[in-house]
Amino acid sequence: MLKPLRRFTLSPEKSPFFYLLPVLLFMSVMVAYPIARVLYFSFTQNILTRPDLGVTFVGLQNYVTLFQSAEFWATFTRTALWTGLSVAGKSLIGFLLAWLLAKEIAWKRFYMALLLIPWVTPMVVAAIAWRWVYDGEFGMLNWVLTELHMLSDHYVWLGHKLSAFVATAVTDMWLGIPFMAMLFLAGLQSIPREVLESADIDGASSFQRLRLIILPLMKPVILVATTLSAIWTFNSFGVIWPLTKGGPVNATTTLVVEAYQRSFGAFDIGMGSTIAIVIFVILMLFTLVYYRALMRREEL
Amino acid sequence: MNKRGKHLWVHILLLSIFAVLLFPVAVMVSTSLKTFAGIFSWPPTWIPDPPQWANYIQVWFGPYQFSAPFFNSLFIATTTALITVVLAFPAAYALTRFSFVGRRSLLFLMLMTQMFSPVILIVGLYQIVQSLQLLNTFTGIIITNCALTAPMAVWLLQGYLRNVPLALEQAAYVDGCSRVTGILRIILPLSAPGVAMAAIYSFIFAWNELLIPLIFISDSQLRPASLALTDFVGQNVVYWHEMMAASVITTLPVAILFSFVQRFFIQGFMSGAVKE
Repeated sequence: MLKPLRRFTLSPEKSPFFYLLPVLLFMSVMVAYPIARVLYFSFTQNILTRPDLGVTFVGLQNYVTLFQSAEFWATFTRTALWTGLSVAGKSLIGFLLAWLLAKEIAWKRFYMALLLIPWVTPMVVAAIAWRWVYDGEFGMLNWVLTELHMLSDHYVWLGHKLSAFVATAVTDMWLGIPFMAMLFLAGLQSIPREVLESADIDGASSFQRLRLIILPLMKPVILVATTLSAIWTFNSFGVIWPLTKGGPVNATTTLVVEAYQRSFGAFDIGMGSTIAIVIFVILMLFTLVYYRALMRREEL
Repeated sequence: MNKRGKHLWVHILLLSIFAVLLFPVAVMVSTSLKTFAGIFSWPPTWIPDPPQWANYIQVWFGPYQFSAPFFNSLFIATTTALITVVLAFPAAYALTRFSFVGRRSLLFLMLMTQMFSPVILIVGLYQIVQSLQLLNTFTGIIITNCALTAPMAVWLLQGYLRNVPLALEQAAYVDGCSRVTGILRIILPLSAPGVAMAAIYSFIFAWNELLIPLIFISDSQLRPASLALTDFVGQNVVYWHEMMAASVITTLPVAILFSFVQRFFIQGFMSGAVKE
């Protein structure tokens, strides 16, 4: 029962704008204007450490330079791989947990409580705790792996390119698993019992049930969950920065870290803004997918 | 018999997954109770004897003065939550009780803004905050936080408000009650759980945020907990036992708040994708 509005007015009785105005004003100043600024900066040469060069309008030059640099494409690929690795890990482990927790088992509340622990851990805390776990000299990971005879010598996990890449992704996975598990669990519990029971009567195996009934019915949930997770993972700064600051030798520099380093490390505002706009465009695409997935089931 | 056997496997699987999942938390808590010498002993011990509870007192009052960043965070996060709700609640009300041109686009815009990484806006925001002379102030961090939390809060609240029945509100209007009074007296109390959810979401966002203070705060007196923790690790000698105690302290407020609302979060994010 929505009331249609005929004329523009600010009356609190008749107009939605009375209620929307504060947030719209605030967002224009704090979101729309900054984006416009960043967009403008991306068309300029603006290096704060070189005031002698001044701020000059260079058109699309920054974009051309960026897209022609091999380093950018390396960062781009690295970001895609890092995001993909983390989201795949979160989804698979999250799904496995949800699938196990959806069964009628004892101690369910106990397991759910355990699942909350990584979820409530602030990102920075998780990153620092993992940093200590990964520590090359006294880290517990080295100790466990030596005890299991999987490692003979101490390994500096965050000091080597590949292991740092995987280690940061694992930390990010760790933070995201509970959310994925909860979403999937909600999805699994919404599957009508009769459907699963009739499959049982027809003699479907556990695996057939998963592949032919559960997964197709879960498709919208999986789409929403993985897209949302991909957006967050892609944006992740709070995990990588305290762990490695993008190192060693750029091995964990994702686009977000790169944008930060360009603007606030090298003070190259022009190039930093250009990367920010590229991130913005990529996020818009992700958001469209998320919105479509969400709206398919929803009337707004 | 068969059924029991099956479930045993489920428990074994679950317990082994959780053993791995809780490993870093166990390390964190265990380290927070060790002595400085204890953290460098090899092989490491899991249960320090005796547990050094004094580490918590030491990190709170000692040279690190972790109480300061903790209270900074508490102030920033609480204020962020309050302002966010004040901005978002009327907007969410308008989006559920009126129909107007651009309503759907506005909802989409809110959702999209929520997906932004602060990194996209930060150069522009830095300029605004700088020109308002709010660098190195809590106000600068708080207004920036609100810009990033308000859209999600609107989204969560409108999802909640849509299920608050119109009938009660309308009865009040028939009795000659003004709309603003109706909202404050009827809708707001009815949507208290939704408001709490939006506030807690904003609180946790502000509590966890690292990039914004990293850029806006250089005065070490004003650092929030997230930044203070990151700074510890940058130093040459890391007092891991105290770091881990500070980490546990930083986790507690979020853990307490989160346990109240996690169910609503799921519904908020999924609204529609899962049919109840």
